[in-house]
Amino acid sequence: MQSKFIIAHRGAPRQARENTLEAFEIAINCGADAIELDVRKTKDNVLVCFHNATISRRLIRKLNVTDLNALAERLGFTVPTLKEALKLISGKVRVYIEIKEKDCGEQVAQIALGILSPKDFAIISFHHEPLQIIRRFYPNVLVGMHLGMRYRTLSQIAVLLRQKKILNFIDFFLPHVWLWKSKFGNIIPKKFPFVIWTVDRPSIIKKALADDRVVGIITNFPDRALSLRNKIYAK
Amino acid sequence: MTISNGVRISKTWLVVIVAAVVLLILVLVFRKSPSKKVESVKISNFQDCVQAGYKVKEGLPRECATPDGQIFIETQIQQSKPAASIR
Repeated sequence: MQSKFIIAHRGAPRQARENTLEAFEIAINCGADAIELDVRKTKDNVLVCFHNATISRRLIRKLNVTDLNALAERLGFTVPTLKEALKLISGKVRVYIEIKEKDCGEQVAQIALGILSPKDFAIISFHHEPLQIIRRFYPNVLVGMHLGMRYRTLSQIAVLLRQKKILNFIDFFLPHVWLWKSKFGNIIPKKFPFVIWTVDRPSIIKKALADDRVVGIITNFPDRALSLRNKIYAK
Repeated sequence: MTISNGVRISKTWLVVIVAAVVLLILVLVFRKSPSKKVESVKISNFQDCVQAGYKVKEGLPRECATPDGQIFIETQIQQSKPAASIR
């Protein structure tokens, strides 16, 4: 049995506001192997760590970074830029950078490569377009394709993979935990490993730890997953 | 065939004696040479696996597999310089 990466989902969202420097610091201190964070682009082309498309009902894309932070401050937090987050994380843990928008793949890759070694990060997305661009222009950067529950059947996923030739430019897949529990693995060639999300229940964490195909587990409870992993591998 | 003191030895016996001497020499040589120890390096993590020369599969995490089917992932992060950002 192999060991797996325990990946802190948006930092440590149960202990601090998600996608903030504070949440990333808690994840690092608890011993997570990696952090997963989300990236969006502001109106003035700054990449920021933020999950939702809106804040206080206003689109992130239509806000300058200063306006975004003014709104965030009213809600009691600060939105870090991608650069700030990667500088904090650099040399401590690895990072999975999730691109939330289609048009910022190159910009994300450039910033990440300026701060991190390509061995220490991967760029992931639900959108295949930015991943395809990154693979073309930055072949040393690892890319992973998110697959969520909007695909109702496995045949829909098979069609997507075939039509977009996704297997030609992807290094690994990130299936939603329910997809992983279905027969998803049967439609993906064995050479592609899985990082599954979001796995919080101890029983499912244990199952994922026992699956040879799974190399990483994204969780809101990195401390819980780490303690389960330690128990299993201590045996 | 006749040897110096006049004792006659048949050709077949000569072959048998030479073969026996060669065999004896071989046995002595192999008994004296130190037996090769089979090195059994215990591999318990990614670094051991890499140092033992097993193949590393690139990815996040990087994986190293031993011939007996064990797979280890790289959890330790090394201080490394960022890559050039120019494509």
